[in-house]
Amino acid sequence: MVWGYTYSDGSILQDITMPTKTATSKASIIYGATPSSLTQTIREVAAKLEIKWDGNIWTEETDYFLNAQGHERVNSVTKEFVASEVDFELDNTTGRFSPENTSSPIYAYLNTNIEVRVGVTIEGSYYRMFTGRIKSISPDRGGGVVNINCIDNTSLLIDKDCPRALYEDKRTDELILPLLQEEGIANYELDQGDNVIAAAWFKDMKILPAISKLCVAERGIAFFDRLGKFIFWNRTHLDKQASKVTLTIDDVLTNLDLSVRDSDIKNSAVVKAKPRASSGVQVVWTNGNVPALNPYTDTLVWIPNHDQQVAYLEIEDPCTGWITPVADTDYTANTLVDGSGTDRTSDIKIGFTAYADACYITVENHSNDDIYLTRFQIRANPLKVWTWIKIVEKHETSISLYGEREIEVENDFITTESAAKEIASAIIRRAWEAKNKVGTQLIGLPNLICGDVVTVEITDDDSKDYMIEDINWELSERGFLETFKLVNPPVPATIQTIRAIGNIKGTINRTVAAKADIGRHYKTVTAKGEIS
Amino acid sequence: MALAKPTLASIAGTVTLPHPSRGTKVAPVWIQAKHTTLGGKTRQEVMARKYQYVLVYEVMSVDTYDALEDKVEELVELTFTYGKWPQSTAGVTVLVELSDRKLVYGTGATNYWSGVTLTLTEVSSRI
Repeated sequence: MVWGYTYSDGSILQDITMPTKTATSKASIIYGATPSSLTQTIREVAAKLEIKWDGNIWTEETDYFLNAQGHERVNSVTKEFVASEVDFELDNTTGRFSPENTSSPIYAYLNTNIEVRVGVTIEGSYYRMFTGRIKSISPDRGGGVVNINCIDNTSLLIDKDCPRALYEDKRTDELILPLLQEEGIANYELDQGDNVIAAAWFKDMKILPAISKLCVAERGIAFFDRLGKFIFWNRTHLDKQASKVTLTIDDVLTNLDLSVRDSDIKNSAVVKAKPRASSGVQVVWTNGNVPALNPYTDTLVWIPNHDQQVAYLEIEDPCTGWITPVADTDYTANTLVDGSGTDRTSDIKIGFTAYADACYITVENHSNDDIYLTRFQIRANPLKVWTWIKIVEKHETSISLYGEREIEVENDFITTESAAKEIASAIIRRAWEAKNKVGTQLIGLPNLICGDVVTVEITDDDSKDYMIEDINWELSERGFLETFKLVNPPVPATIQTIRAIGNIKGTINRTVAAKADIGRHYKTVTAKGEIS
Repeated sequence: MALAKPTLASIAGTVTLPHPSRGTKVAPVWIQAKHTTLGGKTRQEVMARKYQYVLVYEVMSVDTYDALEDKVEELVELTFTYGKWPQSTAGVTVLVELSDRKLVYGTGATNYWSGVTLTLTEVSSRI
């Protein structure tokens, strides 16, 4: 393959032969436009329910299926991670699903945490609606039915601790990944995060709140999709979404609730953050002014001959780059407390184990004398809080109408004031007025998920874009029906970072053209750069 | 070739019934719902389509009735086969509903005839 650059006069800058390279890429199938089969007047609708009773083989239980109600939600303001849930009602006249029925062929497997998946087939096309696990099985003997409550794969992350490691200069997705790996979740699809966090430390945090905070700082969302895969959308993904479908009055909508609600108004947003950053290798702990200390009670001051002292030292800030104490540099030992006796530094042996915000030290005295540690210090690179951010965003018109309705967000993964301001503004934009939510009931469209943007036909002459925040779906003898709660879609930030990749050779100035993805529309922009 | 009589079969055995009287029927059954949009368009959600077979016996002997009732009381799904209707020629799995038993004529415990209607609903959807 020959590559080169041809000037307008026809001269060629350079020809080079490029070797053939193998590239790998990943792709995912995203439901696109709504298939016409979903909106035709008469639809054949069927459920499909499968349960992995023995943990290995999916058993189809559709023959017992009576109905299902599902609920999924993405919190557009607080980015709180909300699990999807499904309740099934199954025919249990044979006692198949009764936990006390020893003659049931699945008696040994009737338990919680069993994998479940359910879908709907409409006009021959199958759509998975839920993948998760059983949380409860409740037989109703009188009615001959059994109710099975299920929660999506979020259950794998509930009440799980974050790893205690420290991370420097990582994007949101690079921080989410170790949280998933901590719990062995290998089925994920993560957008490349737009937010880079200088220093991240999940001290004592649980995984779900940690992911929620990362999403708030990113202005993205995370969820388990209907196939059971963990999904992270970055803010660009959310901002650039075009409407997938128009929910028309004629064909889809069976009810439209444009009522005004007082309860969801937020017109004052306070965003606080204490981001951390690397501050360079320095002394993070010292044993202090040894002559003034009590050698028998204070840490690492005095050690009897042929004895040892152990210490677990907790540091105020988490650290990276721990340095095992070096003789003469970090510690000195002497037979006298003021250092005027015999130097015994070479008789000291150090054992050292570092954690994120602490270290475990063993100091052994191999000499025949009792010794004083006339100096002892620990060096490391502390990730210190480098700034305190507090942004207050108010919507005065809204406050004058409804009174002040404050929401406070505290999130140390927010790294700059401008990011904090964007988050505060986004909250206010979405929730400053009482008309910030729309409820719709519709003939179910299983290709839509929370986070999607749809156009709603308000009247024959008026339509508006909204983002789906909440979906309730029902699959029963009434067919496949849904109820959406819709909110105003994200508004792209005024200034966005764009990335362009070029194959440009030479060391002279060039004007290059790039296509940038700004907001919901692709724009062609030009930029002049110095190529070196 | 003579038309085969209707049968109801389970693992426990097969009951052969007489040909029913006039008035029998095959009725299409739709499990469906209709929803009207805000624009006034009515849409239909169809979950299942199946058949219901109604066999009317103006007179049925005590022996036949007892055999039929025993079969119904097995409380299992039954295979209904009847060559009269193409839907059931090859055998189809059904749930059975037996009507009230009405005395038509006769006396004693065994020497009388009853009027009975047998309603059979297919278990599986045909779509």
